[in-house]
Amino acid sequence: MEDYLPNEYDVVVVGTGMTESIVAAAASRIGKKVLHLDSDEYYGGLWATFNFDGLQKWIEDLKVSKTSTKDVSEVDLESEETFLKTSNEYSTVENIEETWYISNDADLPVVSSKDTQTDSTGDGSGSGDEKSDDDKVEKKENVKQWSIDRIRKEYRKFNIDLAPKLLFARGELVELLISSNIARYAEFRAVSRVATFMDGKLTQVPCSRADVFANKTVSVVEKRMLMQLLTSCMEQGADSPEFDGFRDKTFLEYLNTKNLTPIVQHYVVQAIAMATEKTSCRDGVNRTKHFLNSLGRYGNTPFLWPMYGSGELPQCFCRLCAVFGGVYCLKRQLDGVVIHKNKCKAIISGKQKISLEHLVLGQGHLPPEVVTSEGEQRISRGIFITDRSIMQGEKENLTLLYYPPEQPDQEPVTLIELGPSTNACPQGLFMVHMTCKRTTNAKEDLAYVVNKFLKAEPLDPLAIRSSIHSHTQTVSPDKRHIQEGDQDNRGESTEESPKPQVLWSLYLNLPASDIKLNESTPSNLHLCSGPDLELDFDFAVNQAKSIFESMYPDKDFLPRAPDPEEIVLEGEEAPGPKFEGDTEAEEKQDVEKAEKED
Amino acid sequence: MPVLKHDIELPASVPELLLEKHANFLLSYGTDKDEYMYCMTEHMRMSGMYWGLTALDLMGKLEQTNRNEVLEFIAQCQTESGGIAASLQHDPHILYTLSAVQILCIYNALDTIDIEKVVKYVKERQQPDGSFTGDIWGEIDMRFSFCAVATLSLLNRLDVIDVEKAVEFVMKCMNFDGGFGSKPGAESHAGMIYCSIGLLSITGNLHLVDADQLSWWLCERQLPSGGLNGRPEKLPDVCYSWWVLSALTILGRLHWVNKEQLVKFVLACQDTESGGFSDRPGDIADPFHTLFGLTALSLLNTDYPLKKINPTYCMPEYVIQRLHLKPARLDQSN
Amino acid sequence: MHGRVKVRTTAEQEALKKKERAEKLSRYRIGMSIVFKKRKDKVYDDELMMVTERMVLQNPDIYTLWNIRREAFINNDWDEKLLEEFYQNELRLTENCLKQNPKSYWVWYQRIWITNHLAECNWKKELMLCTKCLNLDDRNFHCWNYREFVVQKAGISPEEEFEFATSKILNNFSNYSSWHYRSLLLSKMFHNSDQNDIDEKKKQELDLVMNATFTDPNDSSAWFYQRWLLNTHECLATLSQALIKSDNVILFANKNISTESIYLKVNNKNENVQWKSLQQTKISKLWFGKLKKQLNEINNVQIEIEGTFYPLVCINQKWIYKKRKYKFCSNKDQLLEQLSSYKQLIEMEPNNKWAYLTSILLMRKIDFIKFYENILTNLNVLVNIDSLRSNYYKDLRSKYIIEYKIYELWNIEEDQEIKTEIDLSGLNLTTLSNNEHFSFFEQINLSANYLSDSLHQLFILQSCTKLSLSSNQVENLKKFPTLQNLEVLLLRNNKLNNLEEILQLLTRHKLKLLDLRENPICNTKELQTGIAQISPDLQLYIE
Repeated sequence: MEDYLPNEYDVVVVGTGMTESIVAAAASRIGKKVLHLDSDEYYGGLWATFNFDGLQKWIEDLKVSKTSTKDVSEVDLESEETFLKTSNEYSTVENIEETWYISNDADLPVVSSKDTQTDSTGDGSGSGDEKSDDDKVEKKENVKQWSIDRIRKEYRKFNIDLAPKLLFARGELVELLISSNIARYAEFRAVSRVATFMDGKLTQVPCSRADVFANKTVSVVEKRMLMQLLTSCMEQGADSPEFDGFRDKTFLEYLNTKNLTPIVQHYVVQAIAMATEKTSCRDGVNRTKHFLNSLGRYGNTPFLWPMYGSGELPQCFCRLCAVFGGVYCLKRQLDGVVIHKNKCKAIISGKQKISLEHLVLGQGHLPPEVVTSEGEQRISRGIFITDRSIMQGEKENLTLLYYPPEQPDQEPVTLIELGPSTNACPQGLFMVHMTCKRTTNAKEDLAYVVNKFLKAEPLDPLAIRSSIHSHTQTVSPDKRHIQEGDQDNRGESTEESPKPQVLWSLYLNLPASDIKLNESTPSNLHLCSGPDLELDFDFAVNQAKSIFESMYPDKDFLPRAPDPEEIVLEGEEAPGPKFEGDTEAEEKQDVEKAEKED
Repeated sequence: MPVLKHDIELPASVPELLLEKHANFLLSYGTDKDEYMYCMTEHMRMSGMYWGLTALDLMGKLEQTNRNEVLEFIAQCQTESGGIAASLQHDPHILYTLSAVQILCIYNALDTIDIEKVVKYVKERQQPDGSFTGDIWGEIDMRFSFCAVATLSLLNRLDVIDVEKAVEFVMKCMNFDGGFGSKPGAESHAGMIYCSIGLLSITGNLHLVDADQLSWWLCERQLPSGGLNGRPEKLPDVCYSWWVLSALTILGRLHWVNKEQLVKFVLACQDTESGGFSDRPGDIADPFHTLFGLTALSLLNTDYPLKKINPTYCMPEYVIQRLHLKPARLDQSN
Repeated sequence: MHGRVKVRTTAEQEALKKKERAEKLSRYRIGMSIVFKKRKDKVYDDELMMVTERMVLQNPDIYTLWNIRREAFINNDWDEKLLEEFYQNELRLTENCLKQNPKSYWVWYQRIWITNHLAECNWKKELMLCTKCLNLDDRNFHCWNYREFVVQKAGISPEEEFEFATSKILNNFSNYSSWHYRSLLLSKMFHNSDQNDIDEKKKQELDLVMNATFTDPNDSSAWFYQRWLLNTHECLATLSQALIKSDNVILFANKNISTESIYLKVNNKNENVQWKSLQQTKISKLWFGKLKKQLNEINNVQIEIEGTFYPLVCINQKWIYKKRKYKFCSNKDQLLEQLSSYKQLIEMEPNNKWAYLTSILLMRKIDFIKFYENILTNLNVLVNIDSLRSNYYKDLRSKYIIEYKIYELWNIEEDQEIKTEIDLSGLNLTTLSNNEHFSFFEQINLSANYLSDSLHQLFILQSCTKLSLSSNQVENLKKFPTLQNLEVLLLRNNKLNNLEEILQLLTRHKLKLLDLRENPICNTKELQTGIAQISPDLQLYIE
């Protein structure tokens, strides 16, 4: 039995993806009556995060079609109304391929791991040896071979993202979370290092001032070059006369005029701007600026990772929407929309016809009649559970790597590795997410990067790898040496370290995010795209903003929501302009904090 | 990557010196005894009075103050120990003992208190290593050394302490940059440098410092806004205009800072509505910054109608001359 | 008040604030009266502790409240266990106060007092507190000072702390406090090291600091540390120059020494000399003495300073000693390499004053004479790009020019002679820079410079008989010191116009010749008569 819902709303939102949820919250926040539906029993759609069990179930469910079986004839239409059936064909996930590389047998011999450090030359400071004996003892007890059973058993300790994304510390989403006071619903962790592949090995990119200072792979003059370039990108911006001659040139062409050394150029292009040979100068400068602006706000890299996965974030907005009276209904199918005089007048859901002013649809709920292009920016994804970090050493709990294509027919791959204390997987395991633009299918598209960094072959139960538990973050940053670091502790190398063994992998293809509606689409029907290829959430936030603006051009987009204790019930003293002062103070603190931090 | 910035932008227009307003600000400060800020600063009342009265004297407004009330208050603040407290019922401390003695010198009324007892109190503060404690509880700090030596010299009783040891302690507080901190090992700080140089000036030991090195550090306190900070990479503040300038004056190198720019900064820190100076343009004014804004202008030898300030004692020069004190300065040959 | 932003408020807010303040004020008054009453009655009970605790949390700077709490700790009748509990509570209380006001002197001291009274203090915990607090604000000198206190109490070695200092620098090198702490620890470590270790460590530090200066050349912190590293740290006092002429002895050392460490041996016997310093100070670099022996009685002279003997040689009826070499620096290769790096930095950052200044210091250390011209060029750049401090650079330039000119003089000097005449005219000097060599010269030409504000420095010209200050824009002679040997004074082409000052000067000196031509004073009618009354034999030039 479906819940009976009131029949009239200002805004009906279908789908609980990122964009949909932001729009729902924004509309509810300004007092609009909002109904938010999702046909799934979980939040997020293609933006969702699952534990291991949930993911398995999701894979299973994909095999069952959820398309409405409702026919026009069943719909009660008035005159001049037309009914358009919705379809989920624009959210189709393809080429799912799940593989286990380990055995199901839970009775593998227990391995003691005495050599926690011996196989790593990367941890150059050598101070890892200072771990107390207690640590080692505990570790021995802990070491147990991972098996399929064990992973399934510990399913709750996994948080697996369909669309993993990072937040720029000063990106659109962080600013929105702060300005709207939604940040209190979420928890974040700073990405601990940005890596790049250079001269045959992975290196940590010096991105903060502290990193540049301590870096030993570049000379002092190169340090100045790097800092100078970064500062000029950040302070001047792409419109500065500095870049006048390069309006129609690439970022690379601009950099070539700066007499940079190859290593400095590499850092800037591949790790900071995350650019390719084709990136325009303007984009390159803006991307660099974006990266740098976000540095130093919450740590030594510009990125934040949402604890418990990206799927948490749409839910934060849904909570706000609900606080302001939004009505939620999961597992509720949208059957179709009712059009009247080129206006979307209502939706049909089950037995109900619900009228509305605005209809906001996630891309999995569109009537095919309004779609003009399915889009091209389709996505290949790979998810891997591994036994160690791709770049062993300190700071290995959260790594970002941008890997540019080796061949012309390949696409750049964004790799996010989640380690200890990210809640993505149990202690001792790592989760690697790879994302790139789809050309063939996920497995083929990602193969060159998988081969480069992972060992994706079935594990021979006899050749037991011994150091599953080896590198957790035990080296305190205080122990770093700059003077006498026996080896290059910043440019950690993986040359001699074995590649991470893949225990489990999942490949899938997500639909395109640049789907387009045709011009005759009713103007009160708003499309929310699925996850895009970019690293951050800016696309979703901006899309939500522009949807909101077209719906309510004169209203504030998500003004600061009061803290729970600030909400005064009717009859009591009205919440005055009190918080405004508070916000100022907070902002000031923020600035001061930032000033202090770097 | 935030760009590090430790300076401020001066407002587009800088007001003239608003002497009348400053005088009114100080004269009315605390007239309403219930005023919140006034009461909540009771624990430093004596110093507050010294700041206000010295500033008023510099502006030629001393006769408008309530001399008798002040003297009576000070007499009541002297405790059995000889030391003087910040306020009634509070405890004696060397900080407030100096403030009280300074006020009494300005009013030419040292007989208000029991001087012998003050001398005894200060003498008892000296430790075997030459340092001074602030009160009976044992905190040691360069400020207390200065307070002790300044107090005794104002009373012409420097002979009761071991001056050589006191100087030795100061020299133990000298740092790698030629500056001084609050105790051995503590980072250099313009306020502490003033205390150290002041002490060396009173005791005739300025030859012990590397004046070039220290003065360079001091003149590096000047920021593009013209204002001075108290330590590297800190924001400018009017009170450092005094501490840095007085030390530079004593060291004979006042010309190492840019006077025009500094005057502009100090003037920009005036509260054009209610009078008084604040630490930086736009902040709340208070007597402390008002005194140091005015003393800075006095030291900079501008043409403003301000009395000359003595850089060692932070008291009007005429008072120091009346007491026949000649603290040493490096820009005077003998 | 420091850093409080003035905000315009609405009448409504004002009223609300006033109400709050009135309440706060009355709470304060009631609290204080309870506390003072109890103190008077010597009642050190729980209520006293509670009220004072609440009040210091509101305002930790009411020092008398902390005193009263300490009185309670001393005068209570609590048993040991309870006292310990109170102490622990005090640690929590001070920590909470510091959270709100980490810069309160009184609170930090209360913590010191408590930790000193604890039967057993967990210094490790205190160290953690410091680390935490410094993570929040790594410039809080109160916390650094407290750390220094804890480190001493806990017996942590400078070497261990050096690790901590390194981590602070790695975390944020734009942090003057950390560099200061580093210098402190290094100085302690150097105390027990031999010179080779010190040199090696300094080399490493120079490289480290260079990294900081290249990463952010606009942050001044590292540059100060670098300047310290580039300073020569001489421990031993050595004799620089000495001269005995008729019965006068002048000597100066490289650092301040006291008379107790100077011995003058004539004919192998210690001579009893009354030494005098310029300002009658107990220690000085420069000392003057009177010799009671006739020069012809002398066969040999030695000066002993802090255990080292320096033989004087006799030439032209003078006994002299002079050290004529520039110091050898142990890490010339490294410094040259750094110099070339900083040259590149100057190219990349043509407006960065620090790069120029450091280059100057490096050149001066590597080979002052060879780089002299480059040093002056850099200083001229600095006068322009760091205009706030242009007078500092001008004074520094004067100092270097004088040093160089004296060096040139040494080259003309015959083997062991000490020249008594120096020409420093027309060099744009703005200061005499306190160079001790000046005390040896008898004829000094300082004409055509800018020394009008430096007359007090002439005090060092103790042997001077003939002095030219012509063309120095001198406006007054108030600070002209008394030079007992002065006979000829040339003040042509200045801006003197005060007769009193000139007469006053003449009464202090036995001048034979005074040149006042091209001064406004020359138009004063009373000039000649006034002078004639004081110095009738004076040869006076006025036109």
